[in-house]
Amino acid sequence: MGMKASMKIIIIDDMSTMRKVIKNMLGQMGFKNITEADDGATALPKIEEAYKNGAPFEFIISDWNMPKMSGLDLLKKLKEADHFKNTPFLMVTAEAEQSNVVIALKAGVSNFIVKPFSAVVLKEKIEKIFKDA
Amino acid sequence: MSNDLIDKEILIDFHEESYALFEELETVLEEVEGDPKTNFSRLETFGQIIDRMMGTAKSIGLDEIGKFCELGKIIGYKAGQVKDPAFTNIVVAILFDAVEILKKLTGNLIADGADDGGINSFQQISTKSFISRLVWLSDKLKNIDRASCSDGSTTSGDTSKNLDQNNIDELLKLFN
Repeated sequence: MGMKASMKIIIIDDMSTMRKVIKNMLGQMGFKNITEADDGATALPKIEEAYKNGAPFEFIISDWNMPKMSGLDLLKKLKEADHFKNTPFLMVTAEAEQSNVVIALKAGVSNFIVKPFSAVVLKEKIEKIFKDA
Repeated sequence: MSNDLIDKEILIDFHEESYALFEELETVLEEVEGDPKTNFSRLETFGQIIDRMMGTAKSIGLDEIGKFCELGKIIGYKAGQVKDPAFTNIVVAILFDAVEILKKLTGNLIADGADDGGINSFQQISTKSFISRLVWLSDKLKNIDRASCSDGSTTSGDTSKNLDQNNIDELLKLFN
């Protein structure tokens, strides 16, 4: 799976400030096709609808700790469907407990990034994900 | 994050979002205060809410606010595991004060004349007695391991320790 500037990305975080920060970082990297959602419950129908419309999201960046539906629950839900199994999923978290990481890895997360992080670290993570994909 | 991303617009957003979270935090504390015997575990919800604020604060370079939130998070999670109404009442009082201090800190972010250079500093807000209460509380809670939103059922022994990005990268290698 290749990484291109036109790649369709969804950022999921309940804090709009955080979404804005990540969007700024992605913009600096040249990514412009970015959609936002404020939690897993809002993101899930957007992701499913985009797939049905033939323009699926190619990369998901989601916070872990969100109300309504957490990043982990969203990840598990998506990975139940064959057509989302290979969609790269980057989990953003302020939490970094080993048990959490292992649970998310087992659920199929592509990589983890711990807040606070720099644009450089985010870029490295994205490059790693698409290199391994 | 570099300071160039802490622009006024982001600070205003953070300020507004924080105030919405303060309301949620105070609602939780009021519930616990109303019935500490039954609702003590709701303090974990307090921890979960303030954790959201912590992540954003740290990401936009508001380290003092981030650290303060982290303290609130740890106290919330840990105290939410202690069934002792008298103790819970003390924790609630301290956390109410914590929210008030956070309000002042975030309010200062967008106050007239504020700049990025530290008007949000603790030094400008009297916190001496509050810090001493936190130290006391921290001592009371030191034997409780779980201090985050991890699923308690899967957390034990070494697996409860916090990981930094390097630890996670090492763990990822095991799975790849």
